[in-house]
Amino acid sequence: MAPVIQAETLRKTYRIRQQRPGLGHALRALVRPDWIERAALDGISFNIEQGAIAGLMGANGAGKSTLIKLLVGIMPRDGGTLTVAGLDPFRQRRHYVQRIGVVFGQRSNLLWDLSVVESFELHRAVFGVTRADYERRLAELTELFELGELLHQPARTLSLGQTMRCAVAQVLLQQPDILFLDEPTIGLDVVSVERLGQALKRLNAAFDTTIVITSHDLAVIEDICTQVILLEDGRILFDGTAHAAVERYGRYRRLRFVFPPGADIEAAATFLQGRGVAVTIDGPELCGVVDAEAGMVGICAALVDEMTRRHALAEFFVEKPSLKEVILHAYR
Amino acid sequence: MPTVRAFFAKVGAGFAKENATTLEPGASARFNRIGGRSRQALFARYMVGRTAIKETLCYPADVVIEFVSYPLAFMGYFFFVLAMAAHGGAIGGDAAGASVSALITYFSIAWMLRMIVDQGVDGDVAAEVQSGDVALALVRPLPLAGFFFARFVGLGLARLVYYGVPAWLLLMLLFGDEIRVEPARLIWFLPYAVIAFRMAFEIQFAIGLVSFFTFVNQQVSWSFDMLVRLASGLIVPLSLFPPVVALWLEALPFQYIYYRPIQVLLEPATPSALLSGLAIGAAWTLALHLANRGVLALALRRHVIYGS
Repeated sequence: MAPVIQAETLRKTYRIRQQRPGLGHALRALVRPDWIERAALDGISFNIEQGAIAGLMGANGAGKSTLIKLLVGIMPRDGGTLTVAGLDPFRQRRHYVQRIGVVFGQRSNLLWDLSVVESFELHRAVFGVTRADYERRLAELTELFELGELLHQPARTLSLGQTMRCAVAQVLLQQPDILFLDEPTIGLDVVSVERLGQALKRLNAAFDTTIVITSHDLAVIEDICTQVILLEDGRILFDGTAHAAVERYGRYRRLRFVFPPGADIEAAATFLQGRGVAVTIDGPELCGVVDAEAGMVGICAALVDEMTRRHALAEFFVEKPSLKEVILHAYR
Repeated sequence: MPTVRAFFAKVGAGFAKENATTLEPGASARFNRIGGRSRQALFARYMVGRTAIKETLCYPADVVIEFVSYPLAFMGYFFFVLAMAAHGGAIGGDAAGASVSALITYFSIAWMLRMIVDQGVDGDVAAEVQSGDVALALVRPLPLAGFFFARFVGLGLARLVYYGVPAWLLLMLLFGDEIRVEPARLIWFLPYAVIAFRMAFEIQFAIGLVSFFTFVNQQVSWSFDMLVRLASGLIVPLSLFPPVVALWLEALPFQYIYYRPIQVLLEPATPSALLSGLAIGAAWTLALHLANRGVLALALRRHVIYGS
């Protein structure tokens, strides 16, 4: 299958003005400003196929949002080539945006004071959706995103999760070939994230819509994405299936220590951190991810022995970590 | 407005039909496509304007308060003109050669136009740039200027109904004896008013575009607004400026927002003079429009939208 998105040595550099503390520096900067250049995308290449759900992952500043802005055509690239659905997103923006849907998680494209259906009507007109198509899609999307009673509420009265569902439904009214979602799960509760994820999966299955999503919620990425692109400092660390990502980082194992009530879990955590294990505390449990390749059995045995002796360890498990834990471990 | 709605519904339906038959190559299909696109673009703009009007209805208190503010501004002018006329000495019953009646009429119309065209587009554009919401505007298949102008038209109509007409009725009630307009000159006034409307938009949009380069444009906006008020004849008719200053101001386009349209109503002029004035005003407006397009293209090439 031909890729619908093709990026070749894609490059974007930001020129950022430096501000140093002190009045003297501020005055000097008026005459001689201090600029630095930072490569947000450092010559990355990748393809995304028609019908894929691709997840862009990475820590803050990794380049995910910059990449989305280049993909939707609102910023020009500094180098390389980018073709989406056979078009150059920036140079052919007005024509190109007819074929895509874009949702920025931190910005609402709904009319704040008017009902959701008013926003939908305006969207229909702007994107030239015929009345018949609009009515049919609205019925489908109302069911898919459970919008029923939300349609006649002013957007400002919606919760964050409801706003996001409405915003995604709105851009789907024009039945885009490609849907771009930039951090759509920000601020959503677990139930809303789950509902959004399920709706996106159903959408992809029903209409073969290509979906590109950035999210800090790696559980969502792991759950719905068929392709994962992991970015770090503007470069691609990994590009493949979510399953392959877990396999590739499969040498990692999650160690789960369960302690009895009253045990000094903080001290146990400090002990593990002292041995280079990144840990999280969850109630009576202490979890850490270790690289299993380098003599894992020995490491585990030593840790368990120490934990039992000094911190009254009750139970111990070795498990396959989630993608989120692997990524977190890799970044730390 | 059933007729207007029916017209646009028909336009929308026409677009739908043509949209389905535009994939074939050839001159005829291409013509259809262009026609369909134009009609769709027109319908989109109509809906943007209509939505802007609906948004104003969400906050009726704002409408009432703004309506009250304009007569207050006008009262200031009225008493000022009366005071000038009463204490002017040399000018006797006139103010610098202009009769009290002419000045009252001038300021009435000027402030009525102001109510319609002063919409703060510059601030709206700057707010989009500063918040990063310009990203949302750029993923619509409507040009940024087209989107803002469609809103400008919608709000202009709303402001005509909310402020312009009631204010005119109020002024006629209060100063009806002083306000004199030749109805026959309205035919020439209307095209001048259209030019004034578009030029006011282009100027406000231009100031808004400054925010793409400077991020904050409040001072530019404030200073430019003062210049426009002065150079357009809103505060003082250009004919009352010292001749040298008036000469300079008449070389600028701003006079076409207030001074020229009002002069058309107040002063007799030959059709050729009116036509040439109209042509010059239209040329200025077109030049501003083209300049804005160029600046926007440059702005989009270099602008960085930070954040998600």
